[in-house]
Amino acid sequence: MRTVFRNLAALSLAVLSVAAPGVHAEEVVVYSARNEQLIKPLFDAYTKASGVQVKFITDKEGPLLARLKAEGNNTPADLLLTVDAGNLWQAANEGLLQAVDSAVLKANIPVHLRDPEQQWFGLSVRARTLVYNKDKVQPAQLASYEDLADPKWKGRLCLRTSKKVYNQSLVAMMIEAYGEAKTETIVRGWVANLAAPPFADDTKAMEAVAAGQCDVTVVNTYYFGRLMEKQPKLPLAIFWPNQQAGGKHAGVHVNISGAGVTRHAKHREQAVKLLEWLSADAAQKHYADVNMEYPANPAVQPDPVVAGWGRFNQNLINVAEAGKLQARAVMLMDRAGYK
Amino acid sequence: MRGRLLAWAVALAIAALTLFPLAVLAAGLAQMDAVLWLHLRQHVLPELLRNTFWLALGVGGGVTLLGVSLAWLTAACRFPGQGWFDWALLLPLALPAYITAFVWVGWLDFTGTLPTWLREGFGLAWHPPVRSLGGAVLVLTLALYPYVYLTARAAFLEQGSRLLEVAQSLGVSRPRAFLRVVLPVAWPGIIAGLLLALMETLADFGAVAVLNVNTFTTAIYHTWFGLFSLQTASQLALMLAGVVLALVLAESWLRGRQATRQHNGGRPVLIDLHGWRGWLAAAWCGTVLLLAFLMPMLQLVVWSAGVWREDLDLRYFGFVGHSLWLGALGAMLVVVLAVALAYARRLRSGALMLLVARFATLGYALPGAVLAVGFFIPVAWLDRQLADAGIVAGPVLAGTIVVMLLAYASRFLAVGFGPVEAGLGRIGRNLDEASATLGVSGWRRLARVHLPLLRVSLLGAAALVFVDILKELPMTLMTRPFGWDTLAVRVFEMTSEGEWQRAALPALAIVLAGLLPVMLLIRQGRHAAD
Amino acid sequence: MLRIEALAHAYRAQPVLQEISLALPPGCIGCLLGPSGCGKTTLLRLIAGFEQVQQGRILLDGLEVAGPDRHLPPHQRQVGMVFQDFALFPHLSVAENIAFGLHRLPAGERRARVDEMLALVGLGAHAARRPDQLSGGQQQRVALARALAPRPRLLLLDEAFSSLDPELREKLGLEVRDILRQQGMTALVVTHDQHEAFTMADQVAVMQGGRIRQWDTPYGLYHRPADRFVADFIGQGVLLPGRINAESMLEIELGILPVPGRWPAGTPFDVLLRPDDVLHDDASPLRAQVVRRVFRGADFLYTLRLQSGAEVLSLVPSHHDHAPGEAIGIRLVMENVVVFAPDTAK
Repeated sequence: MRTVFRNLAALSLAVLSVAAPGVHAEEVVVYSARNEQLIKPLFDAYTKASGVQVKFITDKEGPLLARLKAEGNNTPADLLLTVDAGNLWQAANEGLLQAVDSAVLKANIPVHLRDPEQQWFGLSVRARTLVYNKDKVQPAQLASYEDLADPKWKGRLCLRTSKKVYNQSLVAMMIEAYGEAKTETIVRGWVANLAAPPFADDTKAMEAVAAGQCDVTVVNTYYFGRLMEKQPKLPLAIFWPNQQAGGKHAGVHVNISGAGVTRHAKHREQAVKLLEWLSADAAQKHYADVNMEYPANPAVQPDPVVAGWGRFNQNLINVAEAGKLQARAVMLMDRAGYK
Repeated sequence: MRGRLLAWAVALAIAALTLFPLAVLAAGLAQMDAVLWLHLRQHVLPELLRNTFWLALGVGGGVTLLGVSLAWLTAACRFPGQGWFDWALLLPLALPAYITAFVWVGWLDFTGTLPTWLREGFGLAWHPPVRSLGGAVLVLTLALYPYVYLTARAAFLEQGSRLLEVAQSLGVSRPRAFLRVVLPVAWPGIIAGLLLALMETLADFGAVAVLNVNTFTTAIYHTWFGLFSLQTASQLALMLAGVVLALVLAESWLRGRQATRQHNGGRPVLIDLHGWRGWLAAAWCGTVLLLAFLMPMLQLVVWSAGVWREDLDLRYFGFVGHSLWLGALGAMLVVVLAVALAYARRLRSGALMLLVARFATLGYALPGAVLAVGFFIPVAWLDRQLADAGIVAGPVLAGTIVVMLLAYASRFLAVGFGPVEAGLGRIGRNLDEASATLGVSGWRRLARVHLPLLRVSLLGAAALVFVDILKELPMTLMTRPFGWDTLAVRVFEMTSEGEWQRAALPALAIVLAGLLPVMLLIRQGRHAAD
Repeated sequence: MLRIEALAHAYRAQPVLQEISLALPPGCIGCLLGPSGCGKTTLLRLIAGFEQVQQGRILLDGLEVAGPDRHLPPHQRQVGMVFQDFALFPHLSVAENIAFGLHRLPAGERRARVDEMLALVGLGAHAARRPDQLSGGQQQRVALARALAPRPRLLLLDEAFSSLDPELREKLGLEVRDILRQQGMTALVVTHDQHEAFTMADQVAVMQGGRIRQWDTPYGLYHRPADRFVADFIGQGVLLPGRINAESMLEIELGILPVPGRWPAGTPFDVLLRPDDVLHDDASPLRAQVVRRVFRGADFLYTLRLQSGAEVLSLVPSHHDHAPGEAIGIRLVMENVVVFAPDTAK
């Protein structure tokens, strides 16, 4: 028994020493909220192309930010990668990122998809749009996000939970477009029209629409793509709202998956190089296609299936507003009873 | 004198694992964001306090009812299938609660199997409101009853049938005797299991999120991720810790009044359940097992069958290896610390030591990510001091296995401490005195006398911790070294993208890996009875 | 008031009890005595009602409580029991333990009865204590008081003294017997210890292999054992071989003995010789050599070797101090002659 214990202890120490991290020259360290299976192939391609190792850790954004903050100037992270704009804004707000002055990035990424202070840059675009049941609803009946608050949709609307950042960003942008009072009225209208308690994810909401529990929902386009790929026979279709409108609330709400260089990055140059590589043609194509998203770089064509959903006008408010107004949006949703 | 100081030093050092994170969280108490708190008080707290209260009450009652009834049947009665149900009813321990929740939603929600069948077959547009408080109570009860089942069964095996016979010889019928004698004597054990179940309920996030129920824990994450305020979230977490501490102290107080159990001689005599009674018992056990384990497992297997070809690659060896390694090392560490703490308590028993011990086990009830942050912050701070002093370049503590294991210890000490403390309590003090007269005391006594007697409790504690570590997510995410993904991390990667079917494969692997220690637990219970 | 008729019991096709019949009159203290595995505990449990009767009947006060078609549940039989490990309820005090069976009485009567029982067993000062604070002897007394409190028809004691120290056993055995007598209790004691049986019981059943070998007073068992097993089990003694002579008397090495019945000359018998049957007599021509001796305070138990090499036991007052190797004179003094056919029970 004693010898077993001793051997186990020795082995553990060996394991421990192997696992202790070190800082090497030719590498970039990424903290990513984007899933491992989506980024690993890309990073492997980068390593093959440039010879630079990419080490990364995945986690939810909240813990990642807390971790960056706690590590302070001792952090091993060079790049922070997220799946929404709000958290990038928050990271910049907390002083965790640094400005990058890069002509390449400025050229590749449209202005409304990157930080005005140049601390972060969008790399792919996901549109949050309406999906409806083809058998029950005519496209002519749909118009905009705010229209879904109309009583004619009572008992016909399904929504994802307000706890997910995508809906929070949507409402935040609406606050920027309409002001808080009007947005609250709209959200209250949505809640009144719900056919079922909010769903834990977009896919479940769409399945409910397909099954007839409700007629229309609001989802990220790539979830639609994935679901239709698995079950092409579902009677679902995409609708692009707010296309006729003008002004601030014109266009479909979009969010980004993007990245920024950390303030205390140990490999700043490598991080910027990686960022620039991600913003250019081949990487952009891969980045977007692997998840059925739209490339942030307007010069790159989206995947044919994605393109097949049609062209649409994006809302051009800078996505940073999603972060700036997120807390207010969350409080608004709490007040309105949107769970 | 030296022994006394050592006991206190040991206890405080172990409690520090949890006290440090708590202190870090408490440091934020200095500044309260008035706007946020006003908002929380008005719009968030009332509902979540209500939900948390009803959830705790419902799950508490449910696991007690299920755990006690099942434990009584398998420990004291004879009916068809008893020998098999005896161990099978522990299996749900290996299944994470959010998987159970997701599977149930998949069957019972509008788009699920059952209502779809009702709609298409009979035109009945009805579905059970599973995404509700009631659904959460049901799912969590099914997932957590094994904690009460385990401890109640041990208590019944030890004294149950003998006490019943005595009571009958005194003219008290069996049902009345069960209530007046068997249950009160088993109560301390039942309460210990109930406490673990309640702590898990309060800390649960995955299941209640799937079921769309707002509880303390969902509010904590909501405040952190949505309202961008880790500080306010920590303050909420401290509130939760306070509630749990009150629960824990209440349990200690309740348990303390009972004298240590006397060892029962003679074989346990089983009550024969004839005819329809026996089949009813078998049906009850079978239904619970079906709902809590067999059906979710079946669903996992079906889903895995659909995806294993694409997903099962060489990296899976890594995931499985990491999970098993961390589970085993973590379980060992927790058990060692639990023994040290329980022993310190035995040497210097008193109210203050009790408080210290209880604090040390609080980590279990805090939301995982909050505890992870609270644990990580001091570690990162230490790293920064070392780096600023020029001793090292880059972080040396964060991202090491040692820190990871200590984080697990901080979280799971409660799980190991319970069985160890109970086991140590069963060793009468006259054994200490006897060994002292033979010249063996102190650490030698621990090694030569107590540890062999404790072996069964230790194995049980290690098994429980192992299973919990396999399922653990937030601390693993935050403290793991680069490239050290576990099966639980894999599940998270899938579910965070809504890919529940693909998540079934690593989830199945977790369950299968967890089955081995659960079997160990069962054998431990049987040996203790012999 | 306890009558058992032709009781038989098997456990998983193995017979545990066979042809058990006995009658215990009211106020009598009976005993089931035998080695472990003889079925005595099973019999007790059948009487108490914890096992179902498969064959035979059990009657209490003339009422059939157990039979193949009838099974009165234990809590309705008014049969009290004291268990080997006492099995006191750990969560109740001494007084509450004793009061446990009195739930049907109003509070005042209950308290009075509890006080009465506490006084009976001499534990009045410990009423509020908990079982784990008592010594073994005290716990046993509480267990007895608890079983007696509801005035049961019959009291069963299952190896109730085995977990106590030997000195305590005899003392408590006598105390318990006195209490039972005083209360007029009918009781059945199960034990493997003969001394306990002799101390407490009026009638003893020697059991072996699931059967009752003999149901008799202790004196009868000792001096008139029914078969070789009883003779061997009860007390000490040896069997000496002998033959019937022409005068129908049994000739053995130590002398000639009368035997009941007429037997043809040459019939072989074995005679039971107890230590008190072999007396030390310096005047006797019969001599035996001391092999070993055990000092027992008032007497010596000598093991003596006869001319033929056979060994006998002899109980001699201890002031006769003979060392091993010495030859001493012995003679037979037998009140009743107990003989058995060689190697088979009578």
